[in-house]
Amino acid sequence: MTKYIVRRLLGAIPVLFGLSIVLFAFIHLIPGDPATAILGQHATAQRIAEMREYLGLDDPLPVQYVDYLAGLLQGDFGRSFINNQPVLGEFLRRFPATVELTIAAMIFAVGVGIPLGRFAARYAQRWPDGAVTVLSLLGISIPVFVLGLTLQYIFAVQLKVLPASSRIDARLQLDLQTNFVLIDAWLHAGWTFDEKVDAFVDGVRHLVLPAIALGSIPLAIITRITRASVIEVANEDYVRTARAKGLTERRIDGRHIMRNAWLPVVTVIGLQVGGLLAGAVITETVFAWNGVGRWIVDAIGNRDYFVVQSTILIFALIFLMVNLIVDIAYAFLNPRIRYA
Amino acid sequence: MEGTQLGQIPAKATTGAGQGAVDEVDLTPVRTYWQLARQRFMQHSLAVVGLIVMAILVTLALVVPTITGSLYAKTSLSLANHPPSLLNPFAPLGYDSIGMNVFIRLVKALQTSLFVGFSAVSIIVVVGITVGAIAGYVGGAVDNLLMRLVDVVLSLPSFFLIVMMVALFGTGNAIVVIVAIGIVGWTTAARLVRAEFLSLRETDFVQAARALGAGDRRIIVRHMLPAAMAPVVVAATLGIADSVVVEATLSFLSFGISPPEASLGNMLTNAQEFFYRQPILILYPGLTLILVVLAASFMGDGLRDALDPRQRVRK
Repeated sequence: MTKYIVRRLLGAIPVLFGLSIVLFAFIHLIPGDPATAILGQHATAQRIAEMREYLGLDDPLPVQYVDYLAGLLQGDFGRSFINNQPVLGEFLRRFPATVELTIAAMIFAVGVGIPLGRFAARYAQRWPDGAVTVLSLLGISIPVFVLGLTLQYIFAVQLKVLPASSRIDARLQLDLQTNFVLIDAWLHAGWTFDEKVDAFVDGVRHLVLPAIALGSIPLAIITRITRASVIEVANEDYVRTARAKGLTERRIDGRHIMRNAWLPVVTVIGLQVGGLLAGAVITETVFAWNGVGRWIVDAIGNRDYFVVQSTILIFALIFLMVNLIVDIAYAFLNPRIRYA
Repeated sequence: MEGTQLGQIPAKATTGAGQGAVDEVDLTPVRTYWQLARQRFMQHSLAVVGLIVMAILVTLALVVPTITGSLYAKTSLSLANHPPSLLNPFAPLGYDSIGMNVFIRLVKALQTSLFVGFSAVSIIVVVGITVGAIAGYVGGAVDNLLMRLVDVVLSLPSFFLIVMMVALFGTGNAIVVIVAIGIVGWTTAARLVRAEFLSLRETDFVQAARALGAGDRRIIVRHMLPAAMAPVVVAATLGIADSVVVEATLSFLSFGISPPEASLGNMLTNAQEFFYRQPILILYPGLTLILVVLAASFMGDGLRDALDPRQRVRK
């Protein structure tokens, strides 16, 4: 097992290395000069030359790449061209917002998807099953931003029951320490317990709509997979045996069916994480959510090279790690799988 | 079954459309793979609905913008925010905040989306088949190298790469959007073709072709590719839905196709701006997008069942 993990970790290195070259080459091959982009069209030639020198853009490309890579290995992911802030610091500051949103979306998708899938499996080929299938088809087919806008319209504009955007009511003036709003609500100094509860509830209320929008596609996929998996396992001989020896349905469900039906579900949950990161970009834009996704979109628009390079690299790293964790979780859940 | 009846209507329609031979073929016990596949497809009622919807959408997207020309970008402020009215045949969906005809714009946007969807999928299929065929046919080190490349591309956050390519190489350019989606999306098709080729390579008919002295190219193109197409056709159909959504998303984030050109995505961006005054503007592009995606998914599901030779034709 340890050997397998080490091998997978080592296998990720060439991928990341190759990716860093691709990203680096990519960005330097594009038309347009970053110095001009930063200073604007009306900057003097001299200012642009100074800026180019400051940014190291006049060095040969291989030198620039080696500098960049050396920086990466020391944890220096470069600085933003726009505000000169270190990329890593800004990423870490914003990342919790994205994680909070992603976790909420995942809780929604798993929390609703698995029961819904089991429900559909129990009534397989009858009308509840059909209804769930139609629902999950719709869930997959509605693009995140269309759903986001629709939810905003229904719940924020028309019914006015939930806030339309941002992470927390600005009037509360919450101190962001961890940048997990739901944690910071409790950490805020000088608030009474009731105020903390109010802030927490407000944070949750802001989370609901974006989490549903972001979680809809994983929800649909998890529902489908759970349904298919439960139906398949329920037809196994050992389930019939369990039923024949008189076990309660509840026990058959928990001990015999779900234990085995979990496997494909876990895999699919893991596979959704990459999609969630992409979906987070869109969700964050629709709901004015101050996370990594919006930042990266802004950075791309501003041609903020290091921000783009580094965040995509970090995302790829997260993506690889998540896949590894899923594979390991898979091995734990299924003793029949041996990783040599 | 109601579903079967529904499915048979278009089957009759195609019979009427100048294919007199179909009746004869139906009487003979021998039917080709593709004839069987078509029959199975027609029995899949949702797939047929998908096909009809897609056909209507494609026809609309081809015909209306040709007639209306550049009207989709025409603004007339005097008509701004004119509400939708079925009584007005020229603007059944009304006018938006700067007086653009919503219906004409919507159909133009549909055209853009379908164009991007179909073109991107063409790139995906061509690149995927080429890489997959080479990897599966040649095998060995070449196969290994190409499949590692696939692994690398698959391990990347694909949406970000597409956004980046589009933003850096030409925001607002449909061709760049198409190429970007194609470059990132070919891996699934390549894997499918490779898997088919690995097993086809060992089959008797390929051995026979080789024994008869057929060259590599002939074996690949004439013998193996037709047999490997089924999963690719399914993946391509489903890929249309994905590509359309990616394009709309890019345009929504204002990296894709930008006004005055019309795209379902940028119509939604515009609608978001006028959320409170004309919320209904979200509905049209949103529903159109969902319709395209659903039609393509249903067709893909139907094709998956139809192209699987183990599925039997219901009589």
